[in-house]
Amino acid sequence: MVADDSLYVGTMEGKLVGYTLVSEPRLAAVEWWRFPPRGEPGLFAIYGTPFVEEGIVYIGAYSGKVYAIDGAAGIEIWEYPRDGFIGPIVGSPVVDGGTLYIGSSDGKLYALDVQGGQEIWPPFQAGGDIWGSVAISDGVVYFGSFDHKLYAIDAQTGAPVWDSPFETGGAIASTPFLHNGTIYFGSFDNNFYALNLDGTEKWRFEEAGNWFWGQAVAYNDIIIAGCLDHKIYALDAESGDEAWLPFETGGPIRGDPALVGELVVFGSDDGKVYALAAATGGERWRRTLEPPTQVRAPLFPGEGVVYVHAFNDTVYAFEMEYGNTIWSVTTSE
Amino acid sequence: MSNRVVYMTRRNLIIAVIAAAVVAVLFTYGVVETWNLVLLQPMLNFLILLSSVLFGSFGLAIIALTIIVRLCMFPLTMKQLHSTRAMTSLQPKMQEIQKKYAKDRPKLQQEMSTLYKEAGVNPLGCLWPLLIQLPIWIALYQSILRAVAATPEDLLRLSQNLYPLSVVHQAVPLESGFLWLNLGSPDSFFILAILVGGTMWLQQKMMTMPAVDPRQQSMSRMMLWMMPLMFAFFTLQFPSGLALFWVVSNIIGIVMQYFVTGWGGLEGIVQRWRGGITRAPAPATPVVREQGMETIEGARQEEKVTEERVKEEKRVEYGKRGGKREERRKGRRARSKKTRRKS
Repeated sequence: MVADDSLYVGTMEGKLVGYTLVSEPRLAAVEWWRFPPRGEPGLFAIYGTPFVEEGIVYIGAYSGKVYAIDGAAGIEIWEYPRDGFIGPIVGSPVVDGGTLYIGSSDGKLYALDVQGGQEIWPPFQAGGDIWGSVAISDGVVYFGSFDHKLYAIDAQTGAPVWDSPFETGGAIASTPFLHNGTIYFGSFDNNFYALNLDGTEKWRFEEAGNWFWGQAVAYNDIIIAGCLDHKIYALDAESGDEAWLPFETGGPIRGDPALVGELVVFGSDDGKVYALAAATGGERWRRTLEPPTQVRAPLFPGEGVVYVHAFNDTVYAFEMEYGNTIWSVTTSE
Repeated sequence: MSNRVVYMTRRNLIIAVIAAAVVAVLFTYGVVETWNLVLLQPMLNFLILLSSVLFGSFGLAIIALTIIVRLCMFPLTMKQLHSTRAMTSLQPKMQEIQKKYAKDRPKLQQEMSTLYKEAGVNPLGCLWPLLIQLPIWIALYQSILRAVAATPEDLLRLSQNLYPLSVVHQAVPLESGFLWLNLGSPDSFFILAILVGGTMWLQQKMMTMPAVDPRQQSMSRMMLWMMPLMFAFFTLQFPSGLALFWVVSNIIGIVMQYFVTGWGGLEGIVQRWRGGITRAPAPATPVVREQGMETIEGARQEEKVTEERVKEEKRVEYGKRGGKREERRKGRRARSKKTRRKS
């Protein structure tokens, strides 16, 4: 996550690291602080992308706690729960209107006050783990669960909005993507779905060979989503027809793609980062990460830059024109 | 005889074809991929399929798969158990030979091989069924660990090992709750650790035969405790799905062992438990007299034949002695008649 010349990275060691992006004497990322500090045990792992708002960084840890950290000093402001733990957290926190929403492996969706971390309403209980993040629009929170269902609940009260959640054939680990009044998401039944905001099905794409896990992005009216069958699919937002032929990589595509200008950039488990023309699917460049590793975390777009957090605990910054590496930094201690 | 030759040729041909196929796959895909293709993926997908059939219960699927795999390997296990038992029953004779020819190694080997031949035992007979079973156990163990898939990395790896069957894809991630357990993490109540250790001890105890050699005796006593304790400790570290597999597998092993050797090393405990009134009846062992006869039944039959021979010899000896006695009696009678006539 990049905000105000700062880069915040959650690591597999369970540390949140704050970097300052400097341009003198050369472009680089300089470590500023880490939470918990060096030498102290980590929070198991931080899978989700940190959320930054008004100088405060919010993270969910796999240890089963939510933290609010001061973005300037790396000091804890509050944690939830104060005593004990909730289920392991895999998704990213999302803050909207002073409320932080986060799902957990205990099957609960939590709504917390960003000021002190108190519960706004009692946790909403789904039928399975919640590994994805939420999408919020017009006071409604949308999220999927391992119980095969996509839920829509009221952001203020936590009450269900639809008569019954939308049910797919498989677990839902992807974060729903909202675009032009439609909810787009993929499922472990190998299908990609488009729903109207009232929870009725608009279309479904059934040609994929494995699960959809990452969140989709939209370029004009093309929905682009990576799949664990090693391909990235581009679908017409209205009909669900393929906008261009699927682009195949050498490994499953787990992370979210990023849109930078007219390019869609994504990483694959084959250890490469690809940039395609979002309109046509034509390949612009590809880069193999060194040392060899996998890309599983969502890519984060900046101004003419894309940040890639690879599985080898290294963050790479690629310039978008030719895909050259600007800098790379290791997050492990 | 000709049928036997044809049968052997066919069997060899099948073995050669299977070996050639495995070698071809090995060269094409490499060791890891071959392992995944031939063993891991079929077992993993079958486990998930079972879970889907058994009401989405991963626990029941583990139990069912363990039973099925053990049933499939039943002939091999029985062969191994019989071989081990037959070898154990030969121990006294072997020790005798070892003592007798301690300084003459060639003679010792010759005598040992004669002993094996006469008893119809193959010393490696208990080894090859074990070797065949080993990769299957490892694959089963791996497939349970993979199917648990508690972390995102595990789940991603699992997705790459699934067959393109909607029923399999839809069943994942598996329901990890079973009884009081979360099959993806260790049992915090230590109940499984006790069950794993206890069942393993029982099985080991049943397998332990009274050894004549004190070194062997102390070794088997150490193994009796070390293995169960070690596995109980593992249970505290590994996902409880794996521990569940160990418990079920041990219980099946105990049942199989009972039908081969009876209570074995547990005989004393069982009798004491029954108050020493009734003796635990030895179960009827199926007569498995195959080529090589490396079975306990073979050893038992041989013992019976030897006993019969000894009895017969005794009878003959007794008969001979009885005859001499009769002759002596006749001689005595003749001598006393002569003396009576003289007087």
